[in-house]
Amino acid sequence: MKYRFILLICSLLFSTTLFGAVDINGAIDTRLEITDFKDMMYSLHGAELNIKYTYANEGGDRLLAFIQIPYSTHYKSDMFLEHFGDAYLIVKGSLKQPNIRIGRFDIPFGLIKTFDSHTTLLPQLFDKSLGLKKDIGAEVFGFYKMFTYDVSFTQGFNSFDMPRNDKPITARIGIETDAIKGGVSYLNATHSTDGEMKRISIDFEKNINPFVVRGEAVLGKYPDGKGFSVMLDFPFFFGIEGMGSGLLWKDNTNYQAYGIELRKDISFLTIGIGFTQTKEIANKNQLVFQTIIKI
Amino acid sequence: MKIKYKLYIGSLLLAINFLFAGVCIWRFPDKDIQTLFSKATGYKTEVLTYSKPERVKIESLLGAKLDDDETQFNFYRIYKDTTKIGLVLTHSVKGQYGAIEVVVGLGSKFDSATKSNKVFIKNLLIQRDREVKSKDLRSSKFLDQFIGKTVKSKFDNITLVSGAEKSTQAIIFSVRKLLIVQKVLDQERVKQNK
Repeated sequence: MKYRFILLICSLLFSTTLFGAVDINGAIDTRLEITDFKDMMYSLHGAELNIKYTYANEGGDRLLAFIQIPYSTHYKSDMFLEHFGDAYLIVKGSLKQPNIRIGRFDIPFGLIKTFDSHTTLLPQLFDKSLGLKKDIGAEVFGFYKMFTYDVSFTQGFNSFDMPRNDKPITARIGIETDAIKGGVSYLNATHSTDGEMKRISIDFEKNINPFVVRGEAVLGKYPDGKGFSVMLDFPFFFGIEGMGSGLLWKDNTNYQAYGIELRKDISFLTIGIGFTQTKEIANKNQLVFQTIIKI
Repeated sequence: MKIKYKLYIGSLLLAINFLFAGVCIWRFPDKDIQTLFSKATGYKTEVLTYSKPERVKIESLLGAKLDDDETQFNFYRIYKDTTKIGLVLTHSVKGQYGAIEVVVGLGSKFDSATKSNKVFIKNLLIQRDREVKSKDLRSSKFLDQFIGKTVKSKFDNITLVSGAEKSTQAIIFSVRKLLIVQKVLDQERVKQNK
């Protein structure tokens, strides 16, 4: 099954080069993690190949297919399909009309929508506040003047391997101007044991050049919880980019995390170093050296 | 099992080696298109790669090497219903405080002297930057200086933004690069096909 799948993907890769609107890129992300200054682990954190194909008719682009094929040394063999990244189709409306996305994608909640946390070494609030980032389902999205809107209907958490059928409905209304980006999000899922899970979030991103500040506050019920996160992008020396972050999530435990990361792009290569301290039941310090080869 | 993983990784790496590409994406096409081409009703994405001689030509006209990851360029053909009315190209260039992403809208008109279409800058905008002088760099006072420029135009009459000279030069370089890329990968290919 897997070999056939790999063969299919490789055939697809080579055949797509014959056509015009195919964009292929990838990345290999390796990490050396040192926990509490003693336990050391080197891993291929992620390798991925991203293929985007656009179909157009006489009036313009109408269909966009995107598939992300990831790999990591910490995947188990029987979880091959579960670890898929994004895999979706976008049916594009005419300009100003709503678009429809079907497949597996990032749910439109809070900073998940506007901040790409794909390769960051810093902890993210959604891990605690939602427990998910990607889900399978359908989404309607678009914009009107300076406002953006997104509504998604998805299957439920851990949907590939253990469908819980929580069927979250997620919605976000955002504003995007040169001065500020922000939004209000709402998620409602029928949780099998705790009743209806509800989450509301307010997020923002503001350029105070050369700095970028972004943050998010989340309040929720079933299970009850509240928290916030703040991030600051800053330029360091010699073209090195920096980011600092702090987050707090309070439910039946108090989770706190602080971190800083520095990264430098050198042609195809990104070199990063990150330090995070998390406090939950016990404190944990983690130093990570990261190398990303971009393709 | 390890062999299977190696096979998988090997396939990925092999595919990656053949197909690698670095493209500056157009982040908000549906929104920006209103600014660049107010009459547009749609756009078509084309991904163009270059041959070795084309690369040599681009680099010779530009007077600089293409970046290692600039292996292909996205061409966004702009349509009003089914009629082509322009082209949008994007490029990311290093400014003083990180990447500056430039979006250039190109129009064309028939030049009776050369009996060919002359491609010129119709409009442009900065889609992302972290420059301290961002407001000045995004101002119409600065950006309007580019309107009407062609691949043959001189850019040394552009007034630099005070305090952001390095970033201004980077934007000029980026715009020139896109005009040259359009000339070599689009105009000259059309001529050859005729």
